[in-house]
Amino acid sequence: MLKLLAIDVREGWAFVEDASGLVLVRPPYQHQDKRSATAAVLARAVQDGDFDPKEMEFDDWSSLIRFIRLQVVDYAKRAGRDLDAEVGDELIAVAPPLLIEELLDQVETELFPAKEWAVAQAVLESVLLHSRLMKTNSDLHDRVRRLLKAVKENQNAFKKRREARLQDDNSGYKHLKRSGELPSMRNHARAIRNQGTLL
Amino acid sequence: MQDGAPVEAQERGMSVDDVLQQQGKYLAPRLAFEGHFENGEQFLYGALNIGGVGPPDYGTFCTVLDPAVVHALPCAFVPGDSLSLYAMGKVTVDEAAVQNDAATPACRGILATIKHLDDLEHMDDSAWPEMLCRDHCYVEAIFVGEINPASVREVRIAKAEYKRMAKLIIREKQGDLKEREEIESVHYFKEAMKLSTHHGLDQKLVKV
Repeated sequence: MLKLLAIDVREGWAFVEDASGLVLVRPPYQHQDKRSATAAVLARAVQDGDFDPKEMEFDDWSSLIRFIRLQVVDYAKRAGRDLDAEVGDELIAVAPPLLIEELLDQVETELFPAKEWAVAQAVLESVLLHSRLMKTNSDLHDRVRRLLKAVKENQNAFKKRREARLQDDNSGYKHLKRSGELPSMRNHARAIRNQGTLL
Repeated sequence: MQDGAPVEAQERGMSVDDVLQQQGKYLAPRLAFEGHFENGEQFLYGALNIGGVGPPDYGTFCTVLDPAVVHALPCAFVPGDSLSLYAMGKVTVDEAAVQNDAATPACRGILATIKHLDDLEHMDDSAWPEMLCRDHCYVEAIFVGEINPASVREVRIAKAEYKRMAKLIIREKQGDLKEREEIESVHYFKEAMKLSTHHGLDQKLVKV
């Protein structure tokens, strides 16, 4: 039986009474992360406000550690440090060159062929904005710029193609109007609509 | 070297709870094993490694220590997981077996050769790293002493792990990163990267 006596929800440290006596445990909660403690230290930690007093019993270490971790996550959420928020950008910020290179490879080999230009742009802009390597690694910086340029060129080309298609549509309409075929085409379209099918 | 539960969970695609539960099973025998030896609570554990990221059970972050550092410390090698061999399911630690099996750093190669004698005969040498150090099968190193970032020769991370992290970043940008475990795995990888930078290990990260 283990008794949780106090917890620091910011860091995940906890005073626990186990078979050996009073111990202080801390992440990542391996054997070497467990230290014996005294009642005086516990009293001081609670008094200083670093630890919240608790009195809870657990059958084993795994359920106790699970509880501590949930408390830490809850605290982080309450403090506005939700793990979900912008975690990709946060990883990009501290990512080593090997990960950024892999990310750029995937942008080039997966997002480009799939024409996912908006996603590619979001990834590349995030790297440019957040990665610490952009200031120190000119090769990577140049590659990001080059890819971003390619994304923008492709986006512009797509826009041009779409506009050209619209113009073609307009010119078709104008041609019908000029040639006097527009009324008969209208009637034809109405017939199709009324019939509900082309056949 | 042994990793923390969150990192281990991330690398193995398991929940942290599962990993902690697993540690719980080993905690009592571990305490018994270490309690049996003088200064046993100071034991550090590793595995003999001649390539690759080692047993995935312990995570894809594989910290490789400088052999010169390890060999300067009190160190012993045993042919497998010390808990399974000498403590699990036993009333007391099987000290005679430990004494019989343990090898000095100078004899670690002989220990590994004896262990894998049958495998070596029909295995290409390119497969030796995988043979020597994989899940549930490794030559364990037990040592005592101070290990610091300067003791680290390199930190190996699996190629697949880099790919997975890049994929998760992209999925987040696609608005498709919703599973709690996946978000946590990105979070823990990020924390590991921050720590590696903090300790000057970012220059020692390698992809294998």
